[in-house]
Amino acid sequence: MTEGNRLTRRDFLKLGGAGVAGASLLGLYGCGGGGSSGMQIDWASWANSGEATRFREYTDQFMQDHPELQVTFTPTPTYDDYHPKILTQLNGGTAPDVFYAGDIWVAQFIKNGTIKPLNDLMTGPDSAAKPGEFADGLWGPAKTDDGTIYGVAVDCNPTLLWFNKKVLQGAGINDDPTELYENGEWKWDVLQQMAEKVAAQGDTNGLMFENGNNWFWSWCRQNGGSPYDGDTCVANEDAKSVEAFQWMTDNVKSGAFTYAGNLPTGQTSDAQFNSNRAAFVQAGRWVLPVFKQNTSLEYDVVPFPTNTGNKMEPGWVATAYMVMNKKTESEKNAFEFLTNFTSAAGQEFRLETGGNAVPSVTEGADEVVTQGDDLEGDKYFLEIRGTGLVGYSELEVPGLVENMQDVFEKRLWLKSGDGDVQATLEETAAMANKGIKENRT
Amino acid sequence: MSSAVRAPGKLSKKTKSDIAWGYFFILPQLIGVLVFVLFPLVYVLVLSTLEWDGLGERTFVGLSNYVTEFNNPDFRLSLKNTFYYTLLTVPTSVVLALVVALALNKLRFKGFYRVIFFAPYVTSLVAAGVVWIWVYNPDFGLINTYLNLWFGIKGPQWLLDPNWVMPSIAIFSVWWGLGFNVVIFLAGLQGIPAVFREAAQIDGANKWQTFRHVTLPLLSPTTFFVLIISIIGSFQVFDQAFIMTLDGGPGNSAYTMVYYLRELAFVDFVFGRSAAVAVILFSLILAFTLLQFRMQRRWVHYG
Repeated sequence: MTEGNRLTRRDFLKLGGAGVAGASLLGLYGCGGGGSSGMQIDWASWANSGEATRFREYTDQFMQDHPELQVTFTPTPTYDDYHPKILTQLNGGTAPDVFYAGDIWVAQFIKNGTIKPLNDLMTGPDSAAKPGEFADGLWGPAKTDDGTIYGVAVDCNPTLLWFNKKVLQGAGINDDPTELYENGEWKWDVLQQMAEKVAAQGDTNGLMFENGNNWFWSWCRQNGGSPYDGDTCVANEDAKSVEAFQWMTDNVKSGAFTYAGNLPTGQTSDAQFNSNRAAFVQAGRWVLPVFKQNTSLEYDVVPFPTNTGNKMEPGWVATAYMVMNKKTESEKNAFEFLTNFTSAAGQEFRLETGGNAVPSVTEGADEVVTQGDDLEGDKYFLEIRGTGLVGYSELEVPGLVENMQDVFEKRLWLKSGDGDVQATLEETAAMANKGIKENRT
Repeated sequence: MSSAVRAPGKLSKKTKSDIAWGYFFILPQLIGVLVFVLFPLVYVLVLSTLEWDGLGERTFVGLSNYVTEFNNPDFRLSLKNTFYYTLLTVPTSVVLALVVALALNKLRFKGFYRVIFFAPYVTSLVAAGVVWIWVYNPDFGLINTYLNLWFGIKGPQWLLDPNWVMPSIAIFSVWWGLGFNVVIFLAGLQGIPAVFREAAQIDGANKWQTFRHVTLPLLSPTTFFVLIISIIGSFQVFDQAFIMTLDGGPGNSAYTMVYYLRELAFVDFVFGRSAAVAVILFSLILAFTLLQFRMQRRWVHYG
C-alpha cells in the first residue's frame, strides 16, 4: 500500500491534535455546570433596545465599582422568547448566575428547585436592599407561604388609566378626571358616561379594554370585590365581583369600551391612544417613553375610578423578579450583583432616564417618578404601589391565566359570546381552582 | 486479482481503507444528522409518552397524552383550522400558480416577471406579515378602503373577526407563496418539448385540447411536486398566525397545530402533550404524502 493511501504518523498527530482541541472545546462547554466561574458573573433579562442599553450601562458601572468582578449581560429582545431560552439553559447547566424571571416563571423555578432562597443573603451584612425596603404587595409568587423569598422585584409598574385630553375635548368633555379624582367624584358612572360620549363620535374609542385577568380582578376590587379568598377563586360567588364583570360586559357590548384583546401588532391600545383615537387606556408607566415622543399628544394619568365610597381601591402592579441560579459558582458575587441591581441606588440608576417603571423599594429612589413635568398624576403610581397587588395564586400555574382569558374572551368580550356572566365566572373559577389544586399536588 | 472479480465479502486492504476514510469524512455530517435530526425525532416519540414540565422529573404516562389531546377542544380546533387552511390555500395556490405560469410562459421578458412574482417569497415572512396587518386594518386598511371606495362595500373585520381570521391568513399565504410555485411551474413548462404540442396541432387539436391532453399530462410530475410541497407547508403553518394575530386571534380562531403545540410547550409547560401533538402532526403529513404517492400512479406521467 502506498504512503498516500494510509494515515501517516504526521497526519495522525495532526488529526489527534484536532481531536484534542475538539475535546477541549467540548470540555469547556461541559464544565459550565450552571453559572460561571467565581469572579465572572453572567446575568440575563428580556429587554427592548432602550432597556438593554441602560442595563449595559449599569453593568459597566457595576464593574467599575467592583473591579475584581467580570460581568456579562445577555439580553433577549422579547419576553416570549426569553423564558424558553432560560429553561433550555437551566436544563443544559449553562444558565446565568442571576436572571430576570416573569411572575409565572418564578413559581415554576421554585417548584423545580432551580433557584436559590434569598432570605439569609437579603438579611445579611452584604445586602444592599433588605426585604423590609420593598413594597409589601410586590412579592407575589416570589415569596412562598412559609415566607421564603426566591426573587426580588427589580422595579414595578403600578397601573392607572391614561387619558387623552384632546380626545376628551373633541367629544365635548371638559371635566378633568384628575380633578374629579381629587374631589372624590371619579366614579364608575362618570367614566362610563365619558367613554360613551367619546365612542359616540364614531371614529374614536372610549376605553380600550384589555383581555387580562389582572385587569379584570382590578376592576372587581374597584367595586369592593374580592375575587380570591386565599388560594381559592371565588369570583363566581362574590357578588361585587360578579357585578363588576356584568358592568365590564355591558360596556363592551354597548361599545363604550372597545375590546382590545385581539388587536394585532402596531394597532394595540397604546397605538390607538398615540394616534388620538382613544380616550382612555389601562397601562403602567411602560407606555410613557412612547407617548413622550409624540408632541401632538396631551395626556395624563388617574387611578381607576371606584364604585365604592373610597377614592382609591387596590390596583394591579406589574412586576418582574431577579432570581439566583442554584448552581451558581459564587453565591457571594452573584448576590453582590443582585442586591446592588435591586437596591434603591441600582433602581435609580436604571430608571432615571428611561422612566418606564417605578422603583420597587419604597424609599430612596422615588425621585425618578416624581421629578420632571411629564405627568401631573405621577404621585398616583407611588400610591398604587403601596396598596396594589401583583396577582393571585393563579399565577403559579402555567397556562392557567391564558386559558381563563380565552374563556372570558369567547363568552364575554367577543360579539359572538353568550354574555352569560355568572356561567362564565362559574366556568373560570372551577378552572382556576382545579389548576391551583393540581399544581400544588 | 482486480477488485471487480473479487469474491463478495473479501475486500482488499485498500478498499477497506477507502471505506474507512469515506466514513471518516462523512462523520461530521453523520454526527450532525444523528444529533440534530434523528435523535430529536426519536426523542419526540419518547417525550410524547412522558409527563414533563421542562425541568422536573419525567413520568411515563403511556398514551395518555394522546388521549388528553384528542379530547381537548383546543386541539380539535387547531386540527380543524389546519385542515381549513390547507383547503383554502393548496387548491388556490396550485391553480393560480399554474394559470400565472401559463400566462408568463407566453410573454417576452418572462425573466423579469418571474422576479416580480418571486419577490414576495424572498421577503421575510415576518416583515410581509406585519405589512399585511395594516392592509387588513378594518378602518383604514388598503382592502377595506378600496372596497368602500370602488364598490361601496363595508369590508369585514378581517383579523378581528373569528370567522375571517383563517381566510385572511390564507389570502396572505397564497400571495406570499405564489412566486415559488410559479417558478417551479415555469421550469416544468419550459421542460416540455415543443414537438409534442406541434404534433397535436398538426393533428388538429385546438389550444384547450393541447393544454388538456398534452401540456397538463406532461406537466403532471411538476404539479405533483408542487402539490406535495404545498400540502406539507400548509400543515406546518405557524409564522403567519403568530405574527398576524395576538395570542392566537379572537377566540383562538388562528390556532393551527404548530401554533398550538408551541403554546403547550412554552406557555403551559406540558412538553409531553406538546410532543404528542407533534407526533400526530407528523403522522398526518406522512399519511397525506403517502396517500398522494399512491394516488400519483393514476394521474402523474413521467413521459
